[in-house]
Amino acid sequence: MKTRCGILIVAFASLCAANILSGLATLTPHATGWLADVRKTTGTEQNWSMFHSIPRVQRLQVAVVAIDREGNPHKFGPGLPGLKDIQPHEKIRYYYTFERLFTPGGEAYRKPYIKALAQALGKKDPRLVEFSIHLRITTTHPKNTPQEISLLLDRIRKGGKPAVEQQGIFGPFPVKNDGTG
Amino acid sequence: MALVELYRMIWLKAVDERRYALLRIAFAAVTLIHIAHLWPYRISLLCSDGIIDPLVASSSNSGLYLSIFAPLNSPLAVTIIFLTAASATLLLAWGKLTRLMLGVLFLFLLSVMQRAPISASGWDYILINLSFILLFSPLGEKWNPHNLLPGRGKPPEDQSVPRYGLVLIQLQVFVIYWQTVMLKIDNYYWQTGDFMTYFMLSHHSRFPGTWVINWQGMLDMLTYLTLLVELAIPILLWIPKTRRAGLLLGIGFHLGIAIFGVNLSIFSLVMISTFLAFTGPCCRHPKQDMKSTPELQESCR
Repeated sequence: MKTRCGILIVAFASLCAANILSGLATLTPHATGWLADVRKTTGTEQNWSMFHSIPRVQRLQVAVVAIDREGNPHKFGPGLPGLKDIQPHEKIRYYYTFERLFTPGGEAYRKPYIKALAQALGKKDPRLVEFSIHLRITTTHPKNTPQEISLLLDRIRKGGKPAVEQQGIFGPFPVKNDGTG
Repeated sequence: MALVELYRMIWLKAVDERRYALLRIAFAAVTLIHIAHLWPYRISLLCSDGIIDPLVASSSNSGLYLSIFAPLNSPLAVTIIFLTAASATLLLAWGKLTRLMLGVLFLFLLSVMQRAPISASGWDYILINLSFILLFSPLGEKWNPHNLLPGRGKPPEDQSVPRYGLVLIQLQVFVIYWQTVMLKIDNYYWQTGDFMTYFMLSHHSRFPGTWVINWQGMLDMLTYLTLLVELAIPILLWIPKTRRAGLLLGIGFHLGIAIFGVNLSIFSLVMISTFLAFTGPCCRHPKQDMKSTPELQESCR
């Protein structure tokens, strides 16, 4: 019994150690196939890329602007449910969420989010006909090219602003007034 | 035979179970802080009518989708799950139903990550890895915050347990620090030393501003120092003679991150809590191994 217990412990610990230490093989940091599935299922992925690339955003603000039948704009927050105002700078998870929603790779999540916004706006005010999502990003290097980044510090030395404001608009999208989405 | 002995020494060597108890209590404390941090997000990120579509979240997960927030996705259900998880941290810290409570917390952490993968931060993954290891490790459940304090409460009988759980967490700490260094040294801005200047200009900085230009030399040194510190922390913690220096360096480093960075305090707390896998109560050092210690055999049954 005790030997069996020891063998079980050693076998389990060795498997766990192999999974953990495989994280040092940075050439293949993302496992594929069954190993990736097991890691995803158990949450034991080994991806520790904390701040390995330079951050570029100073501030991110998101707003939903809807237009009614008369052409008047109405501003709402991007938070669901309830179209609540959200401050991604103060609430870091909203920053991650919206950054990942509106960057390449986030399309799969973006489409249903826009659909959910359309329904929420229709419920909020039946007079609304269309809406767009406005992203105001204050960024140190908007184009994110090596040339731009290399000039950034020179720009600040010469008295230039450390960051510039970029406006990204997604839309317009129709508001779903029938509630069916 | 020598290999068997080596394996036995690595994984089964006996340690004071208070080391596990301390780690368990620290894990419970940081998880409770994590739950409090997640509380304002719970409706918008985890409910079915929130920002993240549940079907996309489940289909984006290549493994089994085990999130408890799939069937329980109303605001009330999510709130009850949060309260249950918070209660589980308290019971875990107090040594009550520890294995079950750890199972509850593992499922909670996994559920949050699978339900809202695009909202995840680095410490979510660290907590889930820790909970997975602890789920199968001794937990020193007879010890609680009351009887661990010298002179307070009636301490239970001393018991030794195999150290495999501590070794796994030590390995995890090594890999967290070293993988990030290996990735960073491949990055141009870490190579040139400019990283810290850009970091201090970003929204992650507590004091962003043009002041960084006048301190660029020092920030360059800080960039390289960060890499050295991240490499050194696990080594210093692992060697008994340098453990105290490792603790001081590690805690100082993570306090620095928490002070100069925004929204990184929980990450720092989680990392500092993992240092307990390297340390332990200093009053007792059991030398026995599993074979010769009846208590260890008992703990395996």
